Amino acid sequence: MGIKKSLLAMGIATSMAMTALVGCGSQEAAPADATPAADTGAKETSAASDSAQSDAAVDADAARAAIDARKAEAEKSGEYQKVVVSFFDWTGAPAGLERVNEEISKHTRETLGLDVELLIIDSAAYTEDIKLMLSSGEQVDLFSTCGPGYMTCVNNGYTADLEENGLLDTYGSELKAMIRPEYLDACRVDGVLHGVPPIKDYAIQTATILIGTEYLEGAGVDLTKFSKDDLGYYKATWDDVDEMFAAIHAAFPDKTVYSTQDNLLTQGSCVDNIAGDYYGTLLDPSNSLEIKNVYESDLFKEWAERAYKWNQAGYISGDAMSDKTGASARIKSGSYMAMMSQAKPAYQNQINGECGRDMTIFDVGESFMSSSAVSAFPWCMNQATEDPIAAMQVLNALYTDPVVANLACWGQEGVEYVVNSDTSIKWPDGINADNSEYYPNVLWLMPNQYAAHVWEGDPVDVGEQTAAFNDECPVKSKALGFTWDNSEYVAEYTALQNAYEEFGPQVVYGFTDPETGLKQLNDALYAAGLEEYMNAKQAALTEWAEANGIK
Amino acid sequence: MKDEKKFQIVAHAVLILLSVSAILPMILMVVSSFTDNDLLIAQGYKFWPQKWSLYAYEYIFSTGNSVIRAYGVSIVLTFVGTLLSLSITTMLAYAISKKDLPGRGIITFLIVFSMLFNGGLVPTYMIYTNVFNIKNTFAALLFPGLLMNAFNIMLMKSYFVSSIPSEILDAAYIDGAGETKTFLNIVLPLSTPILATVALFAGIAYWNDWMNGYIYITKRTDLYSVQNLLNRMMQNIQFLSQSSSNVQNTTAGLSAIPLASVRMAMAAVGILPILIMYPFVQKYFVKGITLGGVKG
Amino acid sequence: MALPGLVYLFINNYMPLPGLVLAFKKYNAKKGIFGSDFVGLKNFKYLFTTKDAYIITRNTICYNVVFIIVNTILAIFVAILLAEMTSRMKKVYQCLILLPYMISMVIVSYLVYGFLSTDNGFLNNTLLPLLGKEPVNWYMEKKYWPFLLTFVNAWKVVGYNSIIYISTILGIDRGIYESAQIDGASKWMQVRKITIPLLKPTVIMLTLLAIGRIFYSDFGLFYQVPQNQGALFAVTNTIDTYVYRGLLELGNMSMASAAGLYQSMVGFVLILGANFLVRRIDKDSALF
Repeated sequence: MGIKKSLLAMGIATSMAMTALVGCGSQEAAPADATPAADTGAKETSAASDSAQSDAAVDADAARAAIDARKAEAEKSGEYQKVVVSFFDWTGAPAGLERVNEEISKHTRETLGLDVELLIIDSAAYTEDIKLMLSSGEQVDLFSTCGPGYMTCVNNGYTADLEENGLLDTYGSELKAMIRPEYLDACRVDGVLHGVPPIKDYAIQTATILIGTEYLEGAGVDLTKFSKDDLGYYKATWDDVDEMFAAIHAAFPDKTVYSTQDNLLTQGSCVDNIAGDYYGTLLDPSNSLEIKNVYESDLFKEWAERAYKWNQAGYISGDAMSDKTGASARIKSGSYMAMMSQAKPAYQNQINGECGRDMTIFDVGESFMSSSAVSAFPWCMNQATEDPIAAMQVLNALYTDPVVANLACWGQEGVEYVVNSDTSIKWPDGINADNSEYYPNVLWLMPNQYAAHVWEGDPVDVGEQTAAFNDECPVKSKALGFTWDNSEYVAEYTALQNAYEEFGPQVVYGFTDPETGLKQLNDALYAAGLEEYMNAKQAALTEWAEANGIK
Repeated sequence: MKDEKKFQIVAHAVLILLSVSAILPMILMVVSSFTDNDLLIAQGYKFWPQKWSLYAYEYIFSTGNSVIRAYGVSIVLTFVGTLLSLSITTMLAYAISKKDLPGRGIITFLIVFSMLFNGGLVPTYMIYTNVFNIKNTFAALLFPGLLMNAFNIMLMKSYFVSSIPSEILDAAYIDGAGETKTFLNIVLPLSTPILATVALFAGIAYWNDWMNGYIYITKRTDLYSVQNLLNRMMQNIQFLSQSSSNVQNTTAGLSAIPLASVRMAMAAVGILPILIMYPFVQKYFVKGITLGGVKG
Repeated sequence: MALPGLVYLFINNYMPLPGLVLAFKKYNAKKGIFGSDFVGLKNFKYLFTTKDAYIITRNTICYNVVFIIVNTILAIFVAILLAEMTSRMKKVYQCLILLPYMISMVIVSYLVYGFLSTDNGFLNNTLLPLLGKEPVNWYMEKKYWPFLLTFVNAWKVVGYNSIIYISTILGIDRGIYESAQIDGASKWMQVRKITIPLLKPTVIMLTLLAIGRIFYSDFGLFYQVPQNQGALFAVTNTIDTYVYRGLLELGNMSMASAAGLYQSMVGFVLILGANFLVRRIDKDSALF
């Protein structure tokens, strides 16, 4: 590497190093006697006992050098090297994708010395397509695991080790600085970092009951008795909910009260579905690492009884089990009045839109961060990528460069959006969701949505609000970051899935008396090998906890 | 011919019954597609809804990719695919129908074997993308899987064996006709019913296919066929409505998607062309020809 | 003449075939299909070890046997009616009864739901009250489903299957019927003595081919049409739906491959056996 360093490059390097340190909040304070790292240049030094600051300077140099080398190469060949980034949207490759790619590339040719191609596939095909592409050696350098699933990708060997040869430290230092070490650790599988999480809300406000405001008014429910929680939603108890359901049922006998889904554990409790399924769970995830069968727990029994009571009272439709319409779509249709969901900051606008009416939000549960919340769908690098350094630098830019983030999230300024005076954005005249040429509407899976503009109507500081929501979450799973490859127990897993589907939903939707229903369900689960499955899970969890010093 | 008349009456009665049972759900489907979506969710599917709506069709025809263009792709694909498929199927089937073909048993076995075993999606995909490089091209819709199948070959072979008497072929050879000439001038004209059948099957397969588009078309949205486009739309909406808690900015669009009625409208849009095209295929289903003195 | 077909067969079916080794491996993209580690028969274990294995195998086979019999009889019946019909209406009939084949099982499942839904279904709301009967909770009562599934399946495929028989009937030399008529044979006699015997080779061939698929089931029919209702599993769970529920979340290619290979192997053995029997009885009707 023939590196010519100018003063300017040094300046950039230093400022990068500073950002990294400040952002990280790391306690490794940099000693003042940093040796000039200029001569070394090689990344191996990062492992040496140099100070953090000089490390960062070296890293920045190496990053700079890689960029310069690519630029020189592009000058020679007349063509820039390309990094392909794949994720899904709801409509397939947007019409304006090529234009947006060109805009991103115009910018990254300057900053990174390469072209970026976003390869956007619709949600219907993405899971299959990305697996095929990763299996067959086609060029995909970075991809979102939302769709195929993080563990599937890791188990199938699609993902690269992001820290191999100091890749993340050297070429993704700004990215690393943005994500808390505990969140990075949450994405490690057997100690190896296969992906970095998108920056978003990891916690959920469990057991959020939504009731159409008009129905509450029609039934004359008095809302003044409820206090509000931190997010500004009413705090209520299950008794309050029962009371309100009874009231709206009496006032609107023709309408179904409760629009059910099989979500009472996922959205209605803080039970940790550890390693991705409910066959063996942590019932008290913030305090205990003991794996238990949730379907025998008091918590589930309570839920089952509640569902049964609601069903007996006529709050639940006779078709609840076979009707696959989404809960909010049913409320929008005007024949259902309430549903359960999970809230988060800036939720009111969204749910009103979904349900087509004003909804009143009642917060009945606690906010909860499960063991897999952070590692649900990290961004990964293809293990077969030809230039991991270039890929890492693009990933870094997606997290930190507002120009790249804005283009990827919202398209081109002036074409797909215009900026308001408060930095929020809106549609230009005559453009809407239907005719926009670039509107993926998948902000939540993008690497860092908060590096981009905020849409009009949502609070401009939604990023800070979300960070606070994550930080202040009272029930954080102790097993945050625990993952388990269940491929040794697939026979049990498949049988368990079938057993649950056979007997579970009847209980969840309140169609069977909990006494008999729960027994049937548990008998079937144990017959399918629940005991064995749970033991294996517990063994893996204990081992993991010891390795990570968690008690 | 009293007997004949009785048969015709019974036949009409039975077929009317069957046709009605086939068409009734279809009518329900079309009516549902014109029903107001909220009403559909609230009251279920009705043959005569209280409130009609064209919204599902407006949605399909106004959103994103052009349905008209997709029709074009489908029509060209079905036409080219059927033609190619029919040609190679007929030739192979005729070859293995000849008792004197060397290795006939092995070839037939290989064909049936291919119907039972396949290498799986990933290996097939790798062959077509890495070796033949057809990803994101029209060929990707045409070649993988659909071009020829063992079932049609066996069907055709069986027809050749049972319905083309070897005496006729022998007579042709004695007259000095070569193999090709016999095939073109004697065998094909005698085989219109089976040619029409296999063409129909191949055509339906091409028309209904969405899998190839799913797997091999990732960038060229202009190559979406109707079924591919409709399937994608449907699954995307479904997916969107299920993961709605994750979607931000839903005010812009999601609540306006008429999921239930659009599903029915899509099905109707998908089969409409078949209703238009079918009569053209049907004229080949004519009664067989009397083969003169030859006894089968 | 056989060349283009054989080339295609080679490319489309035989070139990917070595991929079947995946069923015996733990797939890892870093090592590739052929470099991945051998795990022996482990990927097959989940198909056999649980108590469900018996039920899903029984369901798969029984439904297939019933479908083969019912569909064949109905298709031949319809084909004879259509082929012998003189009226122009036959074109209309033929078109209409083919239509159900054209709609996907997902849509069929919604149409079935439109008829069977507990609160809003056509049967419970309109038809049963008309007959003075109590509403039925269709998606909870498993006793109806063997009939419902057989009916839905026949409804969907009989039109399509009958086309095969129509073309065979049309290929029969009309001279035979003419001489039979002259001999005074009734319509029924002609059908019984001429048409049906001449359809025999086709029936045998189609049945043999169907036997090769006897361990497969139409996923949409058994998963979507009963709306994946647990209460119905005893009569709706087949190998395909069982495997699907396990693999949906896992995305394990090796296990999917193992399931496919298992289904193929059984089909292959059965088809060889059946073909052997047929050849002993009637050499010309055998497949190979």
